Amino acid sequence: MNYIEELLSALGPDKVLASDFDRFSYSSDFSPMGPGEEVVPDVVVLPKDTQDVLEVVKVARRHGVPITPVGGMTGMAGGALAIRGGILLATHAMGQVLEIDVPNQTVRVQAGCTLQKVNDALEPHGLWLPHLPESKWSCAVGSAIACDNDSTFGAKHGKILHPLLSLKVVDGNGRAIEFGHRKTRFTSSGYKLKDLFAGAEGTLGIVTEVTLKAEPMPPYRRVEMIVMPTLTRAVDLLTHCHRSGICLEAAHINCRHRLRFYTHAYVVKHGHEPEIPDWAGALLAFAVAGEREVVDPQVEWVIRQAEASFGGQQVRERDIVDSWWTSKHTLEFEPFHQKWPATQGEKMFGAADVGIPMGMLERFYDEGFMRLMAEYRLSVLGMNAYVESPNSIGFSLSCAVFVDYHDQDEVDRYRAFNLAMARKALEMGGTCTTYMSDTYLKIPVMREEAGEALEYYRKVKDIFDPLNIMNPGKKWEHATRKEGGEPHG
Amino acid sequence: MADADGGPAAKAAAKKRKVGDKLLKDEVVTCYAASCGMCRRNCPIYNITGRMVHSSTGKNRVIRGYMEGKVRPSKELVDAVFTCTLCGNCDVMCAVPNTEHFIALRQELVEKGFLVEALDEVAKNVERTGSIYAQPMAEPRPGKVTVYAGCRWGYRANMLKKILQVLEIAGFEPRILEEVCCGYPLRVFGFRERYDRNKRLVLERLGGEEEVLTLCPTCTVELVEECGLPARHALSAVAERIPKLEVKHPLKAVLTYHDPCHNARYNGVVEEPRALLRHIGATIVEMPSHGAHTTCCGGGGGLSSTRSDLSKEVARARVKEAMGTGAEMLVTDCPTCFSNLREAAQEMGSPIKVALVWELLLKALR
Repeated sequence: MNYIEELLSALGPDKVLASDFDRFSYSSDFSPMGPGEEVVPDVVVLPKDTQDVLEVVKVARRHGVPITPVGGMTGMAGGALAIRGGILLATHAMGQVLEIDVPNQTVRVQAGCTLQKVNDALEPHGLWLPHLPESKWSCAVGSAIACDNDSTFGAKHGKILHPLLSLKVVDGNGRAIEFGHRKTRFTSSGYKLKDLFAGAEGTLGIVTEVTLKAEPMPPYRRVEMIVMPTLTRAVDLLTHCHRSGICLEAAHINCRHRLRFYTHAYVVKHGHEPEIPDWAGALLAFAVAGEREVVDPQVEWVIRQAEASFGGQQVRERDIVDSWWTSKHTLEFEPFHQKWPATQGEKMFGAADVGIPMGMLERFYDEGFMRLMAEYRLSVLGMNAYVESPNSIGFSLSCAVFVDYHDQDEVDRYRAFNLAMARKALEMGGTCTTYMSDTYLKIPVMREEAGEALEYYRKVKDIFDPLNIMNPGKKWEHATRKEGGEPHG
Repeated sequence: MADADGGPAAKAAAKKRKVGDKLLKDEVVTCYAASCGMCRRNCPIYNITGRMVHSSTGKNRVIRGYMEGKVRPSKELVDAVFTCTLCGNCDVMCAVPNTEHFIALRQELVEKGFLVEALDEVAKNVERTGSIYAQPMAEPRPGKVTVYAGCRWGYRANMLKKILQVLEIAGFEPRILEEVCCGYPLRVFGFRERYDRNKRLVLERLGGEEEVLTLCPTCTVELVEECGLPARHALSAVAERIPKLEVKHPLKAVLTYHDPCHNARYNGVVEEPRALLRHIGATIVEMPSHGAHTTCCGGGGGLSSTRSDLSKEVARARVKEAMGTGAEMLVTDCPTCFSNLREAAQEMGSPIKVALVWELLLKALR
C-alpha cells in the first residue's frame, strides 16, 4: 500500500481527502502569492482527536512523508503551506471544548478550536480568553501557538504563552506527550518545554489539546484614540502611562497611513476617509477595561497627559474610533460591507512583522520601512506597532504594503523587501519576526539572527522530530536523518 | 421591470457571475489572497464537516483552480459544490457575492453534463406541474391584493387558508392567480435554460401586478431580484398595520425567533415578525445567531435532497441553539425552515415547540 492508501485504511474515507479539488482548497493562506504559486498538498487529513493524529504520524514515519499541520490558514507568511508536499493535516475537525473549570479559570480545548469558539464557550461563565487576534473567528488555538501570533489585548494579557498552561503534542517520534504545568499558572519544576512550541510552526510536533488560563470578563471597556505629533512621542506617552500605574488593555501605535486600514466602517457611513491633521505623525489607539469607575478616570488621565505634556490631541469624532475598533475587535461590520475585500479592491496587501527595541520605532519607520518600501517600489498601507507584553512596552510591528497578486514581479519585490526589513531590524537590535514566525520566507535572516544558537535548535529538532517530517522546510532547513522510511527533505 | 435606476433587479444583474468571467476571476483571486476566513465562523456545513471545500473560502479557491484548469470537473466535485445550503452567511461576512460564485459553478458543472439526479427530478416536477413537489399550486381566488403562495404553501391548503385569514384580519383582500414555481430551485440547481423558460411564465402571470405579497422568503428574493417584480414579504405588509390589529387572545409565551436566511439577509425582514409577535403578547429571547447573522435551518440550496443527513444535522444544531435560550417556542415564518426545524425537534425529542408565526397571529387575532 502507498501512504495514502494506508491513511485511508487507518482513518477512513471521511478523514482523508485526495481529490484535486479538496487538495486545491488548501493551497493558499494569507501570504502574497503570484499567479500559479499555489501550493497543493498531496493529501489532506482531517483527524478528530489525538489518536487520529497518532495514526497519521505513524504512517508518515513509515514512509518519510512530511506533515504540515494547519488551523484557519489565515497566516500571512506561508506557514500553513505544504511546501514539501505530503500530508496537510487540517485541525478544524479537532474543534471541541473539552473542559471549562470555572473555579480555577481554565479551559481545555482541542487544538483546532477557534479562539472565538473558546470565548463563546467561556462567556456564559463570565470568563474570556484575551488572546484575540483579528483572525479570531478562524484562527485555531493550535495555530496561535504555532505562529506565536499577536493579540489585540497584548498590552495587558501578552501573547499566547501567557495563558498557555499545558499542551498535548504528537511529536515526530509518534508519541503523544503532555507538556506544561497542568492548571497552575507557573512552575519551577523541570524544563519549560511547553514554551518551545510557541512559534515552532509545528516543526517539533502537532499540538492536539491545550489547557489555557481564562480571565474574568471585564464589565466595561473604553476605547480611545489620540493623534500624536510623532511615533516617539507616542512611545513616550506609553512609558509615562506605565510609570504612572495606568493599566492599558490594548495599545496600538499606528502611523498616519495605517489608520486607513481600519476605517472601512467610517468610509461606508461617511463616504470618505477620515481627516487626519497634517501635523500628525502617529495615532495611539488604546483601551482600558474593568469597572467603569476605575476605567474612566484612567482613560481621562491618559488623554489629559497626552494633550498637556506630549503634544497629543484626542480624536473626538467617535465614528473614527468606533470604526477602528470594529476592524480591530468587534468585527461587527455592516452586512455585505466587510473590510478585507474593500481594502483590497484593486490590490491586496502583504505585511512584514519585524520586532525592534522600543526606542527605535521612529528610526525604524523612516529607515526600515518607508525607505525600503521606496527602494523596492512598493506603495504604503502603513505601520502598526502593537504592544504585546503585559504591563511593559514591547512592540510587534506590522508593516503593510500593497501587493498586486497578479504581478509576479511585485510579489517578488515584496518578498525581497520583507527580507531587507528583517535585516534592518536585526541591525537595530531587533528580530526578524514577531507574529508570523519564520516560515520558509525568512530562513536566511533567521539563521543570521540565531547565530551559534542554531546548533541547539538542531539538537532540539532532532529530539522531537528525528526524521524531519514535521513541517519540513519551515523555520530553517534541517537535514533529514534516514530512519525507517524513505528519506525526505 | 422598470429597474434601470439601480433597483433590486439591476443590483441582482450586477451580482450575476459566470465561470470564465473576469469579474468572477478577480473576486476569487481576492478571496484567495485575503484568506481571512471570516465566512467560516457560522458556515453551517464547514462547521460540521471541517472540509475546506465546504466553506466559502474553499469553494472560491476551487473555482479559481477550475478556471485555471487545475481542478477538473467530476462527480465528486459536483457532490462537494452542491453540499451547501446557499444560506448566504458567507455573503453577509464578505464584500463579494460568494453564493453567486457557487451558483455559477453549479451552472457550469450542470452544463458540462454533471447532473444531480435528485435535483433533476425537482426540475422535471416544475416543468411538468409548475411545482417542485409535482403537487397542485394554490387554488386561484379573487381579491384585491395579489398574494403569491409558491410551491411550499401551494399544496398545503389548510395552512394557506390560515395565512390568508390573517391577511384578511389585517384588512387585505388576498387574491391568488394561477401560479408556477418562482424558479429559484431551477436557478440555484444550475439549470439555466430551464430557469429562463420558467421565468417567462412567472412574468406572464405576475408581470402586470402593482404589488405582490409573498409568503416564502426565498420566493420573495427570487421575484424581486431576479424577476424585478414589486414583491415583498406579506409579514412586512401586516406589520405596517399593527396599530389596527386588535389582540383578542394574547399569547403569553416566551419564544425565540428563527430568522430565515433569505428574509433576514436579503429581504431585510427582521424586525417585522418580532414586532408582530410582541404585539400579540409574546416575550422574545434571541438566539446568539439572529438577524442578518442567523444560522441556516439546513433546508436551503437543495441540501435536503442531496445530503439529507447533513441537512438534518444543521437543523438539529439550530434547535439546540434555540433550546439554549430557554424559550418554550421556536417560531419562524419560512415554510422550509418550519418543516426542517419541526422535524429535527421531534427527532431530538426536544421539548421546544416549533411554530409558525402565522398560526400564532391567527390564534391571537381571531
